[in-house]
Amino acid sequence: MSTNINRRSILLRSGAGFGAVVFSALLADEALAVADVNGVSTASEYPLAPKRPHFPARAKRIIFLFMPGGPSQVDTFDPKPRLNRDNGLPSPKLYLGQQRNLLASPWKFRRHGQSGLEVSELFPRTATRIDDICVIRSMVTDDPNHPGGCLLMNTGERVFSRPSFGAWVTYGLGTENQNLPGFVAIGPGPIIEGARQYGSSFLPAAYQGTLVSNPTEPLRNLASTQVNHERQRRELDALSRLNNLHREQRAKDDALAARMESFELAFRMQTAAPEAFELKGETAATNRQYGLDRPETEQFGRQCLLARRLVERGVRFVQLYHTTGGFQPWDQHSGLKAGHEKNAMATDQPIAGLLTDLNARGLLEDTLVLWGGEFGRTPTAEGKDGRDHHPFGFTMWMAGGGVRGGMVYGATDEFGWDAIENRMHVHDLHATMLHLLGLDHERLTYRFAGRDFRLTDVHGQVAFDIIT
Amino acid sequence: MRMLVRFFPCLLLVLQGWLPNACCSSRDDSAAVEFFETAIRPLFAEKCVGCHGPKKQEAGLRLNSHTGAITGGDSGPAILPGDPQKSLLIRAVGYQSELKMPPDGKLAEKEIANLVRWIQDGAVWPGDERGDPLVSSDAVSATKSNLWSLQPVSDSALPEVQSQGWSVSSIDFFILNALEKRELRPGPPADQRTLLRRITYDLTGLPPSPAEIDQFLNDPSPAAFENVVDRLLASPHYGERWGRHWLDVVRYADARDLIQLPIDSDFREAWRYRDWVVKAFNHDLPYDQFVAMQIAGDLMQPDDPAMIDADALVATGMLAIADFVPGDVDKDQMIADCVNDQIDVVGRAVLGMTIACARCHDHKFDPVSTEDYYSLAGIFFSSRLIPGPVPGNTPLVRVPLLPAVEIKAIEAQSKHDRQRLAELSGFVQTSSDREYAAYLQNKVVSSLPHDLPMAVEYIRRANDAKPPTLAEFATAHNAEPETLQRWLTFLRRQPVLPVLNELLKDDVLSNEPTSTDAPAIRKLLNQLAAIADERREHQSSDPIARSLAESQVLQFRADDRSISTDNCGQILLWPDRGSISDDAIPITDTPGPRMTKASIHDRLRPVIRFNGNAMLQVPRSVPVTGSLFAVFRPDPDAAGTRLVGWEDSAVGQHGVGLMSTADGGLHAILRRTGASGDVVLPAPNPVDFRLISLTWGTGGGTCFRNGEKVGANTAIDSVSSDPAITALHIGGPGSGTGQRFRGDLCELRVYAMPVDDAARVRVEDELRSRWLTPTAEQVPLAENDPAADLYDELLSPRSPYWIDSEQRLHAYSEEARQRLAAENEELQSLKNKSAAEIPRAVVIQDGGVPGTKHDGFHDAQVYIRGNPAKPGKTVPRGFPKSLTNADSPTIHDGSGRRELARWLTQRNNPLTARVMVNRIWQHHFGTGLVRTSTNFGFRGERPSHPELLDYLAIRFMESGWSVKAMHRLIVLSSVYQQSSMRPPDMAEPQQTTGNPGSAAAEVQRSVSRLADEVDPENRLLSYMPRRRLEAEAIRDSLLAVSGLLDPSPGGPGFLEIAVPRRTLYLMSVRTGAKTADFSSLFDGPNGGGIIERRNQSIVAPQALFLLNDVWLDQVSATLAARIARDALSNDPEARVRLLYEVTLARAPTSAEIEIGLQLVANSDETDSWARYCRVILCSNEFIYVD
Repeated sequence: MSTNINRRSILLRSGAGFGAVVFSALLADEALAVADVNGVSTASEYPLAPKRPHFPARAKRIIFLFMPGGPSQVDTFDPKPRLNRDNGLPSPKLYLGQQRNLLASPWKFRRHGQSGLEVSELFPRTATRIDDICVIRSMVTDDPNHPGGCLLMNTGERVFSRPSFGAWVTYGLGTENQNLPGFVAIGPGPIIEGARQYGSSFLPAAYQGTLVSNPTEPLRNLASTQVNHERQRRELDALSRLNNLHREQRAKDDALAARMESFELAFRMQTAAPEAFELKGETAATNRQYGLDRPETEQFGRQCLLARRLVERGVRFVQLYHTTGGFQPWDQHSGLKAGHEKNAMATDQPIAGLLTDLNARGLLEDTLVLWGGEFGRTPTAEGKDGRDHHPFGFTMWMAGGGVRGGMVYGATDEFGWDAIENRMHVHDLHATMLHLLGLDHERLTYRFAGRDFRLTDVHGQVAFDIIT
Repeated sequence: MRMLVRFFPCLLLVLQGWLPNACCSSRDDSAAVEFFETAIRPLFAEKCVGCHGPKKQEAGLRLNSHTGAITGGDSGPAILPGDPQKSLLIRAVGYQSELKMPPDGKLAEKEIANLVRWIQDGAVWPGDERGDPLVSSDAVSATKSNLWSLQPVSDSALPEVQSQGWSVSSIDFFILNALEKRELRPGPPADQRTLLRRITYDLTGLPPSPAEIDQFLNDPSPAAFENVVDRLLASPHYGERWGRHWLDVVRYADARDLIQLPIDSDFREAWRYRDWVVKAFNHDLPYDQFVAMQIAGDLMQPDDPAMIDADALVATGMLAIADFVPGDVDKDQMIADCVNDQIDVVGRAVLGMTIACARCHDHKFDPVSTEDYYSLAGIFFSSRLIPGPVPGNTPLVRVPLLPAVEIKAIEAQSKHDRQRLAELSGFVQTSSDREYAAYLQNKVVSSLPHDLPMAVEYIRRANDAKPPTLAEFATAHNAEPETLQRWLTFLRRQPVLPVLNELLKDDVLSNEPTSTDAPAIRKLLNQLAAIADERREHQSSDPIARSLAESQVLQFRADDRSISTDNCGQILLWPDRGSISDDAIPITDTPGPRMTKASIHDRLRPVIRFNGNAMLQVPRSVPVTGSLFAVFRPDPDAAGTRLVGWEDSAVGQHGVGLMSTADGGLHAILRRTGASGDVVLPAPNPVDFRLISLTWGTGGGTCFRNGEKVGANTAIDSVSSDPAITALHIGGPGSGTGQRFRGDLCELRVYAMPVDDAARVRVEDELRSRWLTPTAEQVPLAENDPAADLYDELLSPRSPYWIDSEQRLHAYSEEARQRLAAENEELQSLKNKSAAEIPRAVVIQDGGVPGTKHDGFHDAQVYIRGNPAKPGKTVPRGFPKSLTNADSPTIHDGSGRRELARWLTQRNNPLTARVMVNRIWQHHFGTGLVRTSTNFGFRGERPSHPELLDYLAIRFMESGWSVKAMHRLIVLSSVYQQSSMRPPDMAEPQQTTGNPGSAAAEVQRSVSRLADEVDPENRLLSYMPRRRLEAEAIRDSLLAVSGLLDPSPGGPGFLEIAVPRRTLYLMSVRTGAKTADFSSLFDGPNGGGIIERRNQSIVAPQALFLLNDVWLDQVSATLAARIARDALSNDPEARVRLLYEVTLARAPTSAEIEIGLQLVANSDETDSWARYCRVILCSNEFIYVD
């Protein structure tokens, strides 16, 4: 009866046993029918099968370390001596019509690595990896509010429902391991704007991010509470026989075959997913490397270690929400000193550990790591010890995946206010990252209601300068 | 072709895909036009016309018209129809020669291939007589003449068909005619069971029950199917199914965000709109009215102010659930975003036009300019969803759904009830207290002369050689031993002990036998009697004193000598000296405050010091109206701590509280079920002891500081009590985790009435003279008058005559008992009377947002590039020019929504009817005649059967816009009743179907193969498309077949997937927060955007859900139980048969029975039937409809 399974299903079935590379090659061979990544919308394809990019990719996967609330650029990666000198003086710029005073950074910057890039003392561990990192000091976004800022950063649109970044990437490239979701978002705390940030919107449900809030139960329904593996296998065999009887009476219908295959994938996922999320096998040295041995770094360290395990297993897009201490921990309208110190402390060691480990395993080369929040913070003071939301010029950084390390891209003015050189709008960031993945952001489109939608809407310039 | 391959090797792959079509001579003009409009015109518009168009003609070339392309520019003709290889355009876009176009980046391979194909096919360019300006904003409406959907709807005669007998409905002629043109034939009719399952899902979203199957199969009438259709259309489940289809296109959600948004800023009453939509479909509300009410129902209200059309108000929920992102900074942006969303929804849901695209620039493809956009925007800017801009989250407009007179009556009644409740709850408590106080006073007067000497005598006899036992002694004195015991306890406590010692050391001990007559005791008894008289006299002659005494709830004084402390000086008990009430004691496991002294006006006085974690509580509920007095001083360094209150600081919905603010000021908390009457005072200077008086009642809340009125708030007339807060907390919030008080407290008093000025001044004078004057005029009671102290103690909870509140009634007279019971009954019934809720809905209202530039009615300014900060030219409110004509209404006053509603539903509007009948068609066949059912513009697809679409649109309007009539017209056709079963391909081995080699089967197969070639997407409907159930239908089917389904309709949504109601009512929230993770798994709506057509994803997590979710455990177990119960016999095969009937509406084959029996055969395994049921629920057949 298995003769009814079409060629693609056979490929998918055997793919589980092959290495991802072999699998991709097989599909590339078959890709005659899918020369364009946008040709995936028919139900006949298993939607997450790996797809060939538009052009050779520098990065195969993304880890997005999202810092909700908005870390301050002038206190982290964009030193401003002028700000320190003019501490307390009125800012030359009004903030949304208000006059406020400049606030010096409470932290010192030091040069690190061969590149000699300056990093504030908030990130001593990350600073040791600075030669892997490209610091973008000229980020610009459109929305000074958290909800709109987060949506723009994660979906390319600040108001309307649009597919998330990760959804676009899995739509464009599929994923290499069919036994795991292609796009995983890990956030132990509540996430501002919730599912809109990792949803698929009008893209098929296959591309929505899988939210893991509790790593001990990473995906829902991974095991039957009623029957063991053997009995479930027998039941699935019976299901398969029944489905085949159903199919035999009908002309070729790829949806029916794909749905049968989805049950086989689910069955394999039951074993593969718990293994991917299980940290017990990691060594004590690794645990230390990610900061799992210290209470302040344990939570984000666990997230980072999971990210490495997932990309290692072929997950296409992993997004980590830093939610230690609230759903926008970096939002220091007051208590900047204590707040940023606490946040940096919680993430510095885990991030450095992740970069080091990815590098050691040869994964950093084709894994693109992105760090940052939805906007930055004002160089001016709010209260005595706080900074307000700042969309006009802020810092994010990338590492690995074809990005030039030890480099600064763009600049803000001498106060850290406006991005004045190589301005990189969020759309440009998205375009650049898609480019690194081998995707042309203008061709990665999805036709919905008669219009071809893109992650970058009608914008986006690739920043070629940051690519090696 | 060969040359092309050489030039564009990479194109080969793509072109192969096109070859069958490209070579097919049957391509007609309409397909070529469609191809041009969807693939070529937009490409020229986007990539070429910027430099080669009406504004610029680089190299002399214009690519905005056929003539321009043929004529060409400096290098000669750009295209040579029929010969792509020789066309300059193809060489340029191929980047193979010097000329590389477009210069900023090569076109996509598919785009190039499309150009090749277009030229190959003759370069069809419709409507090109006058040239075809694509992007000039002045001439945008000229494209109207080219857009099929803007042409008037025209009726046409039924087309000729060759094959007779198949067409039973007028629409069949259109379908058959189109099939025959391609030499195709329709499929055979579906069998009865398949048809019943199909129509039942189509119209109700539920599977047919075995009884319904029986009824249909046994109905010999030729109208059997029609009867089924009528039955289903009359079912209340019909509206739940078709209402959901509409909700999809108006981006319905039950809420925006259940976590981050306060309730006022979210559209939590959206469910009323959802219920209205369901009702409208069930009642077959004419579609024109259905649309008009959603646009302008608030403006269609009856003239009589005593009447209200609640349905019409609720209907505008469609506009009120706008998709916006809350912003704490920019309200202008938020308002503009809402308007854009409203234009988008109205444009796409009703007109099938993407008008919102013209927000920032003229529409790239369709005849809609930015001016058109802002003429519509003026209408919505002149309407409002928010009452006004406020900092932070903005509340939404809500209106009551009752006429003003009814609301007035309800409000008057509830105000009356509240006042009576306030009166009574103070009164019943004080009345009961008064009764008890009288009882105690009587008891003291009557029993003291006997009991006190007895107790003293007993103590004295303790020194005897042979002291009497307590029981003997009491009996000898005609007293209960318990009474004596209580007296002994009483006399040994502070502050009574000194009095006793005084008595004992005097002459009592020496005058052995006559101790009861001892002068000291007599003197004391006389003193106590005098005090009792004096108190009575004082209260009866002074009305202020009496009313204060009668309404006093509690009084705590730091100079009270009867305060008891532990070894560390922490208070164990703070006696209430005010009335007949309980004492304050620490909360379990929490330390009490300390007694200490503080310097007040250079004089050391006792104070109770709270250190930030100490708390005391007194069991007593909050007075609904009342007064509170406090003399205290907050620690100047302790910001924002709560001194005293009946409230839950975490919820803050009810009660009374006093909080010292960060700057040393005061925040009086006064709440009634969420409404706030808080009073906030700035800090006094300096931060020192102050006397605060707070009253709350019908006049609102008023606050005095040191006798001066410093704040008031009239927002509420009484406070409500949180059922969870049953005690007054001193030194901290009611519950929750708010900060505890730090500072010193001298005295605290509460009265169950808002004291008038005279009484307030009286209390303030007393407190001031006791605590805040440099030299005390009136010395504290407790220090100098032990007899008065003793008298107070005799009326306190420590008195030997004290009885517990539960037993008190028995001590009263019959008359008092009845009176108290009656008062209490009235109080309880008022308390239990649920507040008459006035139903409210989120709606749109006429007039722009007050407090913004939109206030009132204004024409809008064009926002340059959509930026509200860059306003341009003002355009009059109105409708897109390309869609208006002489009959179109004009807007004179009001927002213009009334006119908009009229314009949308005019018969000569070419879009409204077409869009709706197409949508109805889509939900019957899975795909509309126009596949892009919310986009009838150039980028949308053209109709597969244009004449049929118009035919349906005209019938729709003729029927009075009846949706149900449209269903009947569609489903009673042959095309709808076709089979979806096409013969399996020869390449696939046949195992179960009979006669694979028969001649008939072979003919069918060849027709089928032809259809696959000519019409691979089945646009011509040579067979019925198979469809996967939507998320709602999947879950509803699981509930229905297992018998769990609770069919009750409407009301607020539910959150848990296990609630067995229809999935329509499962909460959908735009952020997904807190909601069940079900719908999104099966491409269900996320409520965030317009859903034109549901995706039909197939992914492993869906399988995991069906295989493993615990809810499915319950469903399959219930289904198994149902099968066991309802099967005709215990025979396993009978059960298998019933299971198929229930779940798949058919009988099983022998092979299927065998598989089932094998699964349930193993008797070692538990739940084998439930597991088998689950396998069936996982099957493809269960989830697909043929």
